[in-house]
Amino acid sequence: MKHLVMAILVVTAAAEAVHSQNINWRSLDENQRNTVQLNLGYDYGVTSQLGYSRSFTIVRPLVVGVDFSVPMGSTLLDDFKVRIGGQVELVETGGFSVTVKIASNFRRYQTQLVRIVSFGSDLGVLAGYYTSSWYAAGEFGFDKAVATHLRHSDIMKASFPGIRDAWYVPTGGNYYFGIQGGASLGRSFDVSLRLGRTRAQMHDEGAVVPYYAQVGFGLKF
Amino acid sequence: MKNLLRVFLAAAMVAITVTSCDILEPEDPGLLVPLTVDEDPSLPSIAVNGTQLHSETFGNPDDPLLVVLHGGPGGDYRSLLNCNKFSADGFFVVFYDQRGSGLSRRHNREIYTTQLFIDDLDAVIKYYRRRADQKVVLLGQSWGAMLATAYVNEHPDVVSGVVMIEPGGFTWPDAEAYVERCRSPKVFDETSNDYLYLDQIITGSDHIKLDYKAALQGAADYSDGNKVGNPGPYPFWRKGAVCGFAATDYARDHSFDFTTRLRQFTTKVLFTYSELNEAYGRAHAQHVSSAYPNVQLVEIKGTGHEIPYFGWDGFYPVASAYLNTIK
Repeated sequence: MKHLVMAILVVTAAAEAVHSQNINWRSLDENQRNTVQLNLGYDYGVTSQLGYSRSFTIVRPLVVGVDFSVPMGSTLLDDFKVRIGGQVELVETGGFSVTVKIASNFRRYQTQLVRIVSFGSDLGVLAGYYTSSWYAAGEFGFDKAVATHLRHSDIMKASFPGIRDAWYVPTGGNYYFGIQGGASLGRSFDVSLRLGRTRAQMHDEGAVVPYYAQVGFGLKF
Repeated sequence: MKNLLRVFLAAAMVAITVTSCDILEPEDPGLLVPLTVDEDPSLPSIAVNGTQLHSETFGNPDDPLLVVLHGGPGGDYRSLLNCNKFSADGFFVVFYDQRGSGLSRRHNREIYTTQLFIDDLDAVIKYYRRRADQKVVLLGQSWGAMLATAYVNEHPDVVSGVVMIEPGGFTWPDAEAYVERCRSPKVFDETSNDYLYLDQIITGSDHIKLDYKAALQGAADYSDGNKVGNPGPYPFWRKGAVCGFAATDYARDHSFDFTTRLRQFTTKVLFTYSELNEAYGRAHAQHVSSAYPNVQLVEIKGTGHEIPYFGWDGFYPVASAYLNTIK
């Protein structure tokens, strides 16, 4: 089982590519390959997300990067998510474009009952219309928590002394589907908006708030 | 970027290798939540009404029955165990985890109706009652007090007294409004975001994973800033997630009114509420308790919603005095 987990992690991470960046492929500039993006909104909690990405052209346009997000709360870094990934524009014709996104993610979550660390993967597809000043697209993806370590506090162990601290495989997954769009403001700034909903895998119970909504601000340099 | 990925990957592998040798499946019994009575025969249980309930008793079986009803739906009686002290007051104290809750047997969501909980309580009373003239008193906390009232409404001749601890409401609109007041989230606080953030890591359709997730999310009941006035965690065995979801959905879809015949029940009842539960308060207590014609309404000082656990010293003298009048 351990080899299986490692294999999954290798496959998902080796896909190396950015997820948080809402990319307008037509506004990418060879002299501005770097982007810093701030996303604010709701993503399983009220979150702030900061990302960096760099664009390349290797046969097809490609953007790779990393992002870090935290939910609001009095304890800043007890919960967070880091994603390493990217997106590649597979098809482009007459302004229409199809993009594949893939990322590996790491999540940390802590309360007075448990400390969770979780490795997972996120695979998505975007299809839409892109111009040099704006774009609009639909997105669909799947975010899987592949391997999750649970370490329980004394409170949980008092409630159930037999509870097992261990790696658990897998612990969950959610589909997401929605729309995103953006506009370029001058040569260096972008604004974007993502809206959509989530749905738990198979017959799993859905999220308490099964929606996401993010406003993004990008700086290219 | 490749270096960054290598670091990420190495971190994952090292974490798995070093942190633990065990890789387990969360659905396996006994790992994340305790075994239930059908999985562990050493647990005390009774078989009634087509199910197997975790149940314990304290005191002389010939004394008047005091049946303790826990909250939820989906909670368990572990935090109410202080009530076993009523056995010293001359009561045969009966605890049971309701169907699908605590250490009782699980059931799929399709079977749950409000009536089923009433029928289970009737079956428990019949199981333990030795004589037709043996008095039956109900003591319920939160949902348990609602269930006690539902039973009184249906079987007024069986019950000789009722001790209620902050029932949300005896009609669905009252109960729903109370639950909304308890849960009203704050967008930027730690508790609300902890509750929501977990949904991206743990999802499930099987009982065990849902029970475990409910236990983690249950921390909202006693985290900083909770509305119900709990100062910290209180003991439990297992949150019956499917039972809780199903019973609540059923109530929302079918509504209920446990007061239709309550005016006929002229026996005095004890209705307690807590000083520190911001979502409750005297006005709500007066409104809810007014469905009974003969009520002793008492505020228990210095405690929140989990009165028998956090406010026992204030609750016990009041409840004991009431119980001694009807023994």
